[in-house]
Parts: sequence; C-alpha cells; structure tokens
Amino acid sequence: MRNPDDVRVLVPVAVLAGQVIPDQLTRLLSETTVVLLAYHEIPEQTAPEQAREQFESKVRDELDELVSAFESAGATVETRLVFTHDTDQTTERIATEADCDAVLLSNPAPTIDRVIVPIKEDINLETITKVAAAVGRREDIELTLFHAAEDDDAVSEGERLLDEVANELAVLGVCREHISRVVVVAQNPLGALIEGAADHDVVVMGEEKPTLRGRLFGETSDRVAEQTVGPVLVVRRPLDPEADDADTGDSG
Amino acid sequence: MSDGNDGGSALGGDPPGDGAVVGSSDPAVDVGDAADEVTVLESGTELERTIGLRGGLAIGIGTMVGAGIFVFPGLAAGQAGPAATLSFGLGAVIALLVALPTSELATAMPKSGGAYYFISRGMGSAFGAVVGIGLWLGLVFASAFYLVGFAQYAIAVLAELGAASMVADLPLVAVLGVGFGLVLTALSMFGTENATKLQNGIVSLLLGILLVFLVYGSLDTLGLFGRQTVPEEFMPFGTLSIFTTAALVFTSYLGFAQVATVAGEITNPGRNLPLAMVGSVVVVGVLYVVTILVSTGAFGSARLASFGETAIVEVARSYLGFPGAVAILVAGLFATVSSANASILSSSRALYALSRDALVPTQLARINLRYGTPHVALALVGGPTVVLVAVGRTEVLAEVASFLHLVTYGLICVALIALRRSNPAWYDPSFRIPGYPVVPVLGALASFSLVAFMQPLSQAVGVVVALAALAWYFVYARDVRLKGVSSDA
Repeated sequence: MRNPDDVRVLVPVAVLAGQVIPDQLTRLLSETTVVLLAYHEIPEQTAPEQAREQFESKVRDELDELVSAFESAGATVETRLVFTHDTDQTTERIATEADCDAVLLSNPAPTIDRVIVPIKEDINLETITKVAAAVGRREDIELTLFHAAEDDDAVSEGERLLDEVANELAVLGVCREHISRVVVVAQNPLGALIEGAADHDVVVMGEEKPTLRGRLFGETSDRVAEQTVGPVLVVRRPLDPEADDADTGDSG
Repeated sequence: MSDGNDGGSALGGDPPGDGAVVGSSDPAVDVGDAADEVTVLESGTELERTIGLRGGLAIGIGTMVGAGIFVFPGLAAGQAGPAATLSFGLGAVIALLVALPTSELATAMPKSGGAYYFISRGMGSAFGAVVGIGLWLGLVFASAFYLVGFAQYAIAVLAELGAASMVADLPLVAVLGVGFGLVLTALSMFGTENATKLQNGIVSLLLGILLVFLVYGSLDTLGLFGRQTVPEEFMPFGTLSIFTTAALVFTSYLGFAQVATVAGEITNPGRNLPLAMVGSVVVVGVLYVVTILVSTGAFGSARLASFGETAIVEVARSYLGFPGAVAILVAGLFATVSSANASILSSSRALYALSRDALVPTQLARINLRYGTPHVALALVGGPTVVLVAVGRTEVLAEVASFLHLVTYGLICVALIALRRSNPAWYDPSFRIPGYPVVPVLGALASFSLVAFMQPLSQAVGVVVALAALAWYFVYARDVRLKGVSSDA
C-alpha cells in the first residue's frame, strides 16, 4: 500500500519528440515519487507494435537517462513506457492506474524560485495542499497562495481560506516565511490568475472539471500552461474508491 | 477491468540491458497481455488501445459502403436484373459466415496483421505468405477499384457543372483516379493529422444521407407517394446470373476483415471486435439490398445499367430531384475516398505483418522518424494502385480484389477449424462462435465456390498472383518457421 503522505506526480515525456525535463523541474520534484511516463505518439497509419519494434530500445535509453536524472535529484522513480495514438487517453489511464496526485504539464523553466498556488473552496484542497507542501518544503522555493474573490465582501472569507491552507502547509513542514498570500477581487478569475502567475515560475492548481475520458486537463490548466509559458502541476481530482485496485504497486 | 495485467510487469525500475534484445523478438504468438485499453508486453512496454466500437464500425462500414452503393447498383442490375438484391443478400450471408470465424480468431490474437496473422499461426508460413501477399495485392486491387469509382463520381460532378465537355478528349478516369491515388498515398505518408475523427464523421454523414434517401425511396417504391414502379421480370437473366453477380459485387463486403488488421488497437477487443465486424456487415448488407430494391424500382434494371457506375445519382435525382443528386454525388466522392484510404492503410498493415515475420524484407516496415509513418510500405501500396487505376477495368479490378480476399476468407475458416482441433495452449479466444463446425465449414465452402463464378480473366489474374506469392515464399522465405503453428505445411 502507498504511504498516504507520499506525493505521486505523473511526468509525461514525449521522449522521441525531443522533449526534455529541465533540471530545475527535476529538482522541484525531488521529494515526490515521480511516475515517469515515456510515450511516443504515432500517427494512425502506423501500428503501435511496428513503432515499438523500431523505437523501443531508443525510448528505453532516453528513459534510463531521465530516471537517473530524477534519482540523483533524490526522487523515487517509477517508469511506464507507452506507444500510443492518443496521448490524452494514455496520460489519463496511467495517472489513474499509478494513482498519481498530480500531473506535470512541462514547459521550459529557466529558474524555479516562486510557485503560485491558486486556491478555491471547492477544489480538492487537501491534495493541493499536500502537493504544494512537497514542492514548497525546499528551502529555495517561495510559495504564493492565491485567491480570486468575486467581490469585496468575499475578500475576508478568501483570506480566512488562505490562512487555513497556510497553517496546514506549516504543519506539513513548509517554512512560514516562505508562504505569502494574495487575495484579489476579479470578475475573471482565470485572467487574474494568469496575471498573478506572471512573476512566478510554476503553477500548482486543481483540476477543475470532472474527469472525462480524453479530457484529462480541464481547459483551465491547459490555458494557464499556454499563457504563463511555465510548467503547471495539475492536481487531480480524488479517485473513485474502486479505481484503487488498478494501482500498479510501488515496485520501483 | 481485466485483473492481474499490470501487477508484475516491470513497471518499476528497468531490468538492466533489456533494451538490447528488442530486435530479436520471436515471431511466435506473443499476444502480450491484452487488457481493455492496453497491451502490456513482456518488457513492460505498453501499447495503447485507442479505437473504440464506433471507430471499429467506422473502419468496417467506411471501407465497404463505398462500393456496394455508389459503384455497383447499375452494373449489378445490368447482370442480374432485380434479382441483384439476392446477389447482395447472398454476399452478406457469405460475409457473415466469414466474419464470425474472423471475430473468434481476432479475439484470440488481437494483433496487427489480421487475416495474415491468423492463417500463418493456424496453418503455417506457406499459407501465411500466400495470404499476406494476397491481402496486400488484394487491397491494392480494391483501392484501385475504389479510385476508379471516385473518378467516375468526379466526372459526374464535372458533368453536373457543365464542365465535362471542356476536357472531353482527356482519359478522365485514369487522370483523376491516378491523381487522387497519389494524393491519398502522399497524405498517408506525410500527414499526421488525426484522420480517425474525420473518417468517423464522414461515415456518419454518409449513413445520414443514405438513410434519408433510402427511407424516402423505399416509401416511394411502395407507392406511398403515388409512384408507379417499373414492372419487370425479377430474374431476367436466370438463376446463374445471381451467383455471377454475387461474385462481382462481393467486393462491396471486403472491409469487415480490415477491422481485424487493427485488432491490436481496438479497445476491449473481446467485445468490440466481434461487434464491429458482424455489425458492419449487417449494416452494409441491409443498405445494399434496400438500395438495389429502390434503384430497380425507380428505373428498371436495363435503364439503370445504362447509367453505369454512377447510376445511384440518377436514382436520387428521380426521387429527390437536383438536391438529391447533389447529395449523393457528394456522398459518392466521400465514400469512395474513404474506402480507398482505408484499404491503402490496411494494405500497409499487411505488409508490415509480413515483414515482421521476415517473409518479406524487414526494410519494408521501416518507419519514417520524422512523420512516424511506414513510408516504404505505403509507397508499395500506392504505387501499384495507381498503375492499376491507369490500366484497369472496374469489373476486373473488383473481381480480382474479391478473388484474393475470398481465398483468404476461406483459409480463415480453415484456420479456425485447424486451431480448434489442435487447440494450442495460447489459443484462448474471448469470443467463441456459435454453430461450430457448421459455420466455418459453410464459410470456407461458400468463399471458395464464389470464386468459380467470376470472369475467366479475373480468375486467371487471381491465380497468377497466388502462384507468384507461393513462388516468392519458396525463393525468399522457405526457412521461415512460425511457431504456434499446428502443422507446418
């Protein structure tokens, strides 16, 4: 069984497409269990078996390099290697099977010092806090808790919410001096978030919509990743209890 | 969920050095661990299954519907009169008799390559080579046939636009067919857009157009809107014509087995493979029979025959006027293209399966790193296809395609019987056909006997191709032994 304090992050990498994980990101995830998903997306003209025969050893080599990069940074690593026509379906399936708390949308990250964590009442607070703590325990990281209130009346409530999260983070070992809190009043919370994320390097945010097949990332997180041009850690919604038997074990 | 597929499959740390032995993968029956959405191989590598039931049906229907409705009604009515409905019905029955055994084999071996894979594993590499090469070329003939059909529709469009007279002195069928064949081949080599959704959409659109047309046509034929059907003798050319016509139009049923060529990519294969194959045969079979009834009801078979390949356009015009004709023209263009495209892709899968077993040079299955497509195999499909388009006649192309497929279909049934009797340990289909052994015996007999009703020229070409495949096997690949084989011929 997995340790409930363990934070599991799915890191999908399109290995043969030349996608690399920046060192900074590798270090950011050093206190988590990283499920490395090396995938190769192939067009439908090609049978996955056919691609496997030709590319498997190459993909394995690339994967081995990634594994040692993450391991030398201190992370626990598990690996999956998939040939697929449909990356979204694969990511969704592996995230469920490997019981991941978060999925990394990788983007180039020259430096990683400041992490912004948008907080809403109804989105999976517990896991977001857990993931944010795993990232924020590192000494060189500044966490910004961010809340967009609908109007002036909701500001105090938002502040209370951020206080709760900050306390919980402190319990989980994040240094209080590294936590700052921002509550803004905004008609367009997404726009406010993108604005707030501008001087940050990484976003840790909850997955919004119910997980529909093929639509792992509610559009919000994709748009944030696109517009901030930085990495986004998407914290998944809680799994159904019966999905747990698809757990693949912690053999790594 | 399938239990126990993911437990110990080396998902954690990588066993050292296992990247080095990948190339030597045994050509035996390494079915892998097929779960609903993924196949997990021994090395821990996973192959995602991404085609659902809808996608499977779209492949089957999309491949078949191009021919039966948009090319054959005129030709078939000319040969058999209104009794052509029986020919299409007979074809559907034969296709069903083969689709059931194919489903069982596909659920036991949900791998790329389809029929070739079943037969080489059930009956040995010699039969495998004949079937694999036969499938490759059979699909080349089929693609050429669909492209000729496409060209006829393109010409009909030009005629509708009044532009046909401007280019009257060009060999339009050859020019348009070859041109579009090259475009399709190039698209499949260099295009990486997701064409599946497009294909699904096209098939839905086609079925929608056909449904409106056929329902209206049926009601009208039955006299609901005061139409007088053309009175006519049902069997003007005798009983034999039903069988020869069935042999001709059987090309309209080449497609259900194409679902099996992507068996490795179908989700929940135990359920979706049989449903997609049997379902697509039933759907197109019903459509074909109704189409012929409606078409002969509109014009009588002699007039229908005089319209040639695009007869259905005139039928639509007579029922629904100009908009009907336009809708069917558009549908015909889409349907023939979708059939040709699906066949080209299946054919390249057949070549891949052959090269995996070293029955043809392994270079044929090379994948282009930039586009991720098997460009050599696709070129070896597209090239011969356009040559055939340039020289071929519709009937002969169709019959040779049917000939080569029917030989394969017959052998599929035999392979099923062989595997059921020898019952090797790996043979564990999740779908078992009802009515064994009657269904496969009838399927084999029907497939082989339909060949006898074809034109001599088609039979000769088919025999030459089969013999050439056998000769290739003895010259190039005699040493290939495929394990999992009960009795190597």
